[in-house]
Amino acid sequence: MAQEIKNAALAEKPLLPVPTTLERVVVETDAADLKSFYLKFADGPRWDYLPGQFAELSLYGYGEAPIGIASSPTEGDELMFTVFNTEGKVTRALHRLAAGAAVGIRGPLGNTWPLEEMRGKNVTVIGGGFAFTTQRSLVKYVLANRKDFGKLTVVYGARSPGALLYKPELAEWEKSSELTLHLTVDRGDEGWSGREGFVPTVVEEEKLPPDDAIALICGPPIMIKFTLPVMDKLGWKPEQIYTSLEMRMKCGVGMCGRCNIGPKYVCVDGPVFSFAELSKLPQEY
Amino acid sequence: MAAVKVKMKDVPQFLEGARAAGYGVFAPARAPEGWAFAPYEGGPLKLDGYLLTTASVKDFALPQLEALLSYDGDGGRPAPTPDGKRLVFGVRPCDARALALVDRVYRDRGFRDTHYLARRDNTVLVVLACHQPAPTCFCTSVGGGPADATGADVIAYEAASALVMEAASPRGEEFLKTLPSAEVGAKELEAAVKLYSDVAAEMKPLWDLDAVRPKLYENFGAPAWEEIASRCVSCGACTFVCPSCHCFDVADEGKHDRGVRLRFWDACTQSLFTLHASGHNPRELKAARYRQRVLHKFHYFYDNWGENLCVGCGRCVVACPVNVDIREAVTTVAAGK
Repeated sequence: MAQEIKNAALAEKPLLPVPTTLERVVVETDAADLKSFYLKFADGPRWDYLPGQFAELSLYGYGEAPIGIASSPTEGDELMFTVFNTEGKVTRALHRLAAGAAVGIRGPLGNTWPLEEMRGKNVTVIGGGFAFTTQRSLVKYVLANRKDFGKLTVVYGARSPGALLYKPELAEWEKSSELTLHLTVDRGDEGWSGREGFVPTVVEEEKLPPDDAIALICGPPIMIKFTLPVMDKLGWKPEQIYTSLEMRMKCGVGMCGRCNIGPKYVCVDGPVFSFAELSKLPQEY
Repeated sequence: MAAVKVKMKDVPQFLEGARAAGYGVFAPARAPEGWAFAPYEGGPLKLDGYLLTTASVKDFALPQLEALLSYDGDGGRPAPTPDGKRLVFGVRPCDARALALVDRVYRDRGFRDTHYLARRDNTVLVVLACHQPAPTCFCTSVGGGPADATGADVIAYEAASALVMEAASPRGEEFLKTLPSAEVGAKELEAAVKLYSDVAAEMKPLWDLDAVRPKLYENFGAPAWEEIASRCVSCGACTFVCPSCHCFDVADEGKHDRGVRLRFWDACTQSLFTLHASGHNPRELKAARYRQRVLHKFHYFYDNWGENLCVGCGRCVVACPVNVDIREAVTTVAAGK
C-alpha cells in the first residue's frame, strides 16, 4: 500500500474548497494549450501532499476539475498544476486567469506513487506527452531525497520539441549526474538536435533493466499499449510497473460514484495502480 | 432496547406528541402517483392499502437537489448545516436498510459528508414492519426482511389493536423516552415480532447470492448484458427511485461572482456520467452502464463493505418504462446466458 496523506479539514468538509491565490502562470507549450499554475494557500487552512496525489481545482461559477499535483512537497509551499485546456468549462476559465486570481482547491486527494516500495530501489520513469506532470513531482522528490533511492532513469517523449513540458528543467536534468534522461520527440524541428522516435522504441533501445527497480509509466493509451510488451520482453513484472489513471470525477472522496473500476474508486483507491492490480479489475478505464 | 406500545387509535396522538416535542413529522399519504411521505398535520392516519412509497425515503438524507455552498466575489461559504428534528413514520424496512448502507459511503470511508450526516442525525426513522409484500418485493433475497430493523431508529409492529414499538438505535431510544407510552414486556414484544415470521417465510429467496455473486462477475462479458440493456432508454428512473443509489453530480448555478454550488442526484445509467473531457468514455455503451448498476449493487459494494447494495424494494422494477427487471437480470447473467 502506498502511503497516504490526508488532511483533517478535508475529512470533515470534503466538498468545501480551500482558498488559494494564483501566484504566476507559465505557458509550457508552443501551442499554449498547456499552462502551469502556481498557487499559494491564502490565510487559513493548508495541507501537505506527496507525489502522485491530485486535487480538485475549483473556480466558482464554472466548477471543478481533478488535476494531478505537478510540484513536489520538497519544493516549498507553492503548489503547481500543469493543466491542458480541454475547452471544457473549468480548464478554459483557468487558462484565462492571471496572477492574483483566487482559485479554490480541494485536496490532497488519492494515493501516492509507491514511495515505500520504491525506497532503496532503482526508479524508472516513462512518460509521454502531458501525462508527465505527477511524474515531474516524483522526479523532484527523488532528487531532493537522493540517498533514499537507487538509480533514477527518466524517459520522456512528446510529439514535437514545442510540446515538451518543463523545458528549462529538462535542460538541467540532461546535464545532471543525479539521473539519466532519455528525451525524445516523435519529430524534431530545425532547433532540435536530440533524439527522434517513439517512447516504446527508446525503452527497447536503452534496454531499461528491471533489476531491483520500480517503473512509473504515464502517457497516452497508445504509448502505454506499445511500451508494456517491450517491458515484458525486458523482464519487467506487472507488480513492478505502476501507472496513474484519469477519470471523470466530481467529489474526489469516493461518494459521487463515477470513477470506479469494479470495486475500486480511482479517486480514493488510486489514481496510482500497479498493472498487477489493474489485471484483476474490469477493463473499464 | 426499550419497547413501548401505543393503541392504534392513539397513533395520531402519538405523532402529534412528536410534533409538540419539536419534530417535523412525516407519514405516508396518498399522492397523485401512489404514496409519498407527506408532512403530518394532525388527524387520523389513513394507511389502508399502503405498501411502499413511490419515491424512497432517501430524499430525507440526500435530497434530490441541495446547495453545498454559496459564493460571491469574496469566495465561498458553506450552506448552513441542515437542522431541525424530523420524524418519518411508516418507513419500510428496505428503505431504512438502504440508508444504513449509504452511511458507509458518506461516513465510513474516512470523509464525512456534513450535510448528509446532519440530516441522518436529525431524523428519526420509525420503520413499519411489513405484513404484506408487494408483488415486486424481494428483500429476503438480498439480506433484508419484512421485520428487518437495520438502519431503523424505531421498529413498529402492528399487533392486534396496538402498535408495538421497539427502539433500534440510541436515537430511537431517546425519542421513545420523550413521548408518553406504555412499556411493553419481552413476551409481548416477542409475540408481536412473531406475527411477521410467516411473511418472511412466504418470501422465498430468489437466489443464494453467495453462489450467484461470483457468477455475475465471471460472466462480465456475457452477451446477456447487451440483451437485457437493449431496451434500456438510459432515463435513470431506476436510480432515482432506488433508496440505495447515492451517486451525485455537482454544478455551479449563477455567474462567477455570485451563485450557488448545487449537488443533485445523478445516474450511472446515463452516458455523461463517465464521459471524459477528451471524449473517451469508459462506459460508453448502455450494456456496460446497466452492468455497472447491477454489479455495483450485487458485487462491488459487497467487495468493499460485505453487504449487498440492493435492498429488494422492487421500485426500479415498477418505475422502469421498458420493463427492465433487475431480478431477471441477475438470474439470467448468473445462468451464463
